[in-house]
Amino acid sequence: MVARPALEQTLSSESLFLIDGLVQSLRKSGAGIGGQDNSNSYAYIEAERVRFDLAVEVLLLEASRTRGKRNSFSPVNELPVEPLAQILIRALREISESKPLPLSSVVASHVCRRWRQISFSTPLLWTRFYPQLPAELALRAEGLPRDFLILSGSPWDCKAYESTMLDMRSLQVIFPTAQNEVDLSSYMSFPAPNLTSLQLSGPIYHHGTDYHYTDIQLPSSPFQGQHGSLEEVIIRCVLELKSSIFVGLRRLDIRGVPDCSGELYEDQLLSILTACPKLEELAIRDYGLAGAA
Amino acid sequence: MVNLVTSDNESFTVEKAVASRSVLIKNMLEDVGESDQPIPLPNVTASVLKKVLEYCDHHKNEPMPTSEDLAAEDTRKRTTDIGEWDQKFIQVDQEMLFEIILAANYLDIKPLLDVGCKTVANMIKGKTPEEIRKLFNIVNDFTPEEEAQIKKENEWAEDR
Repeated sequence: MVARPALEQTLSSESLFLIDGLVQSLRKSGAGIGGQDNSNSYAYIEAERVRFDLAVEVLLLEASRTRGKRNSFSPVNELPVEPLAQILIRALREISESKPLPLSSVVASHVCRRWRQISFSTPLLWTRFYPQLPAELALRAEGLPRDFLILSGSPWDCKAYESTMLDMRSLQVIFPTAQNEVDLSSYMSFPAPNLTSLQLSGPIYHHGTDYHYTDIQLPSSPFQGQHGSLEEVIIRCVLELKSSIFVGLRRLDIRGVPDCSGELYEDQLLSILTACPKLEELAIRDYGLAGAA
Repeated sequence: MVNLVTSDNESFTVEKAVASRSVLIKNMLEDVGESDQPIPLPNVTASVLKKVLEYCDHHKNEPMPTSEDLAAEDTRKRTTDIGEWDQKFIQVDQEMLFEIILAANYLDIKPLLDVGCKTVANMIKGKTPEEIRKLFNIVNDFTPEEEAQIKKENEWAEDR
């Protein structure tokens, strides 16, 4: 609550006079209706409440406009739209696995009015799609190819997403908890001609411990064999590389090698390279190369 | 050598290879041909141009990025990685950081613009709206109507 002394210190005497006058006026506006003193009636009080609420709304709108003007002095808001949009795209593209859903896009649009306007006029910020995404947010991608994000185990009706999946640019499937066996075929039953990146993320796998890991099965011929644009697979789980998906692959980023106890042996490396004959870039994390100096 | 004049009327004489890291200046030099005429940069102050030229000098022998490089950069995942020298170079206060981004945008120095954008992206990554406001000295300027919509969007986010 604003204390009167604070008002008196901040506002000019003219502003104070006008505010006091406004309050008095709003209180009295309904007095004498019907020639009776009805100032204690419900209708009178309700009408007074409405008058005050409307006046507050006008003041809040003015306050919002002034705050917006103040924000324009922040150095970040002196940036033109394009660089600021690029910053938001970069910041939001790298979304941590603990908060994988497109919350980050929402975050940018909740900072201030300018950021919200820029977020809304940047469809690239809204390409992340997950099955429970409210339509109002989904529409903000304005028809751009989607980056699908699926939490394994959550409700899934592949027929409902057929048209969106056909235009899918990337697919990330997350397995939040260790499961005995996961079948990915229901996520990979449609052709995905525009798919460039596939990421499979399980619970963190620690070699050398009894940590139970999820056994993930890729279909032998996913996406009906139509994934010609796929360039990159990122694996954060344990997975056998037995699928046609690896044949045309150019980039593989892997963490979690089956039957590997902390060191990657030559035959295992060879099996990866054999499974991905077109590989140009291979990253294997958290494993040493056995026999390497 | 090329003579550049800043908005606060300071002159900088630099090698053509350094100045040409800016596509704007490179195009100007190509249009004008050999000339001793100074190039005015009305949108850049001396303190910012000094920083920008430091960057251009360090990178002067690197090939200019092609449109293919830029497209590849867009599609790669690690979009906020910054080289070691660039990281040290960009350790400046917020005001200078945004001045550098503005200058890189105006002078059309894409790699420098990228370094600036990545730096700011790293600053806001993972933060809440309130934390971002605090970071950049921004206040909540939403109207009551927008606040109601934002509240609804937060509820969607919690329901997921």
